[in-house]
Amino acid sequence: MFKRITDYIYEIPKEYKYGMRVDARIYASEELFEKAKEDKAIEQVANVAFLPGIVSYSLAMPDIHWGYGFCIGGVAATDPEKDGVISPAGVGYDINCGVRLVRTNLERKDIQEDKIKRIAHMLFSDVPSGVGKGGDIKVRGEEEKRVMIEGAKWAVRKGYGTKEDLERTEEYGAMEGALPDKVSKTAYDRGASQLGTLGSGNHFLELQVVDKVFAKEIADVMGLFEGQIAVMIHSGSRGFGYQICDDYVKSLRKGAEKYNLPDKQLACALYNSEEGKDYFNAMKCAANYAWANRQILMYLVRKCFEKHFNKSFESLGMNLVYDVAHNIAKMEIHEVNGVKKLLCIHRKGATRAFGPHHKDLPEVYKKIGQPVIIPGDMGRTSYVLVGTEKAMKETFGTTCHGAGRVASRKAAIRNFDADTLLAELKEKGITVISADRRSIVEEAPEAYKDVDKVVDVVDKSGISKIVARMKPLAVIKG
Amino acid sequence: MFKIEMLEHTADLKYRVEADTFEELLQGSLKSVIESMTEIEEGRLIDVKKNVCFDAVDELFHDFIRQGLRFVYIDNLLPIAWEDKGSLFGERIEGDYLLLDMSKRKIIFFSEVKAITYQEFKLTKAGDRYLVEFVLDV
Repeated sequence: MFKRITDYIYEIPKEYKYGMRVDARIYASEELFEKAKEDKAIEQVANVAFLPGIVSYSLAMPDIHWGYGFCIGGVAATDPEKDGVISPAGVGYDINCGVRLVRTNLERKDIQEDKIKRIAHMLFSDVPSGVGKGGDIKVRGEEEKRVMIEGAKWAVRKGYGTKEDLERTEEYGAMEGALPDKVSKTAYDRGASQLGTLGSGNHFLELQVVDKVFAKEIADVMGLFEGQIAVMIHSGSRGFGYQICDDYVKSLRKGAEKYNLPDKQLACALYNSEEGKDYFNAMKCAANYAWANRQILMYLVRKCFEKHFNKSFESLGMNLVYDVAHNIAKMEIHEVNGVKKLLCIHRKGATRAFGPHHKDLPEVYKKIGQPVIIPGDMGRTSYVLVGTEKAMKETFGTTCHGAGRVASRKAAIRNFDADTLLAELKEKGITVISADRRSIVEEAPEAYKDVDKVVDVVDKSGISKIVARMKPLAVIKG
Repeated sequence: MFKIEMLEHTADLKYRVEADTFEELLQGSLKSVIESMTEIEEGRLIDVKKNVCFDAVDELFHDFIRQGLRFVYIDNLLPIAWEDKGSLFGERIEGDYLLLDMSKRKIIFFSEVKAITYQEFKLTKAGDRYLVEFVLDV
């Protein structure tokens, strides 16, 4: 039933399940596709093809794995003019979970290993991390609403960054149209003290070294070079976003029944309905909160470096390369069958990857395309890619988001041991700091796909281009 | 008596809880959620009791778990047990959450449960046994 269209695209025709409105396409190598078949992710890609108003294909990226409603790595575009829906399942619980990469002028050859460890311990001590952990920044009432509306712009206005940071952030750090009135009191309460906190699970701060540059001209524009020290920050909208998703999955659950969708978790509403707009405008609040959060996290990282090196972050060259969201829904114009349409693009565990000259890119990246930051697992590599024209044509300007889990947490706990893992990572020159040992085991490198194989697919299929590869030096786990 | 089993799920946590009564099913489910996040020593003294009652027909189980998570994330209280006061399968949940005050105790979390999902959710009564399967987003 599955058709191999090219070396890196598999198709599930709409005849696969009665009720699919479009075919589904999965970007994967043979090995990754076989892996994806081991759980229910492929079924989920087919289920998404049932969504009212879906256009083109239900898509999945090579880091595909089992999620809720949508698989992780899932992409779907719906047309509001054709009764298209918006679904919180197509965004996920951690709304605007995303990644940012900060470059430095520092070089690995100039920094001894003990210095790396000292910086890592400073970061662990100065950047709040862990379950439900609050930070020093409390925002309540009107101030919390400002965060929801202004996102990273609020953070910059409060002194946590620069105007240049905003230019290098997707959506310039805030989606327009966020409506705090559409957010529940519980979500307000959960968000009040979590701004500027990393969180837990797969969220992390990583000190990295640029290990290899594949496209020098593009890397030059981003200010990246081999041997350079960089910092990657992976976090999202924390409990605030989880609560908004939970509230709307509950209230939109009837949509899954109304449209006879094969999975209850595919909660949805017509985009052009009051409920649909309410979710979208509440989701924007969480998206903006997440951009403010990552902006403040970067501020805390810069402060640590300033303290350690006794130099300003500017003189350390700590510029933001780019910040991307990988759990989000957006209204974007794309061409479908030769006609430009305004579509609701759901990206869940998938990253926007606009090609060169796109109007939404900042001047600095107009020629090269949008930078895409792909975090790997803590023992292997991470990547910087750029978006391509092919991605605009085939995937609504989208690529993968990371390595993607391959082993359950249960299996990770059963198969790995924290001491052995830490010793193996130490052997590779990687320091790992975490408040809890079990989270280290759950996030063991072997619990993830090899990110090299994931980015190889998006590069070879042409939906993005590899620019640089980074290796971890120190990992601070939430 | 209840029996908790952790099932395979690639990304998150899936549980199956079986019990002789609906009350025990709730107790077992609450225990599985809390033990996904932290280790609780047996015999801990209770700091607070909070009474809850839900009557909504189709959201009972989810609301029960949601309330437990709300205590953790908003009230800084950790539910460690459930004392039933006459819950009815599919109709009503009433009883006390028994909670630890986390502002007075050092509790280390190893995982964060974001929410209970509807993914693969099953709540059934087969003969004299009650069974629930649910997935937690972590």
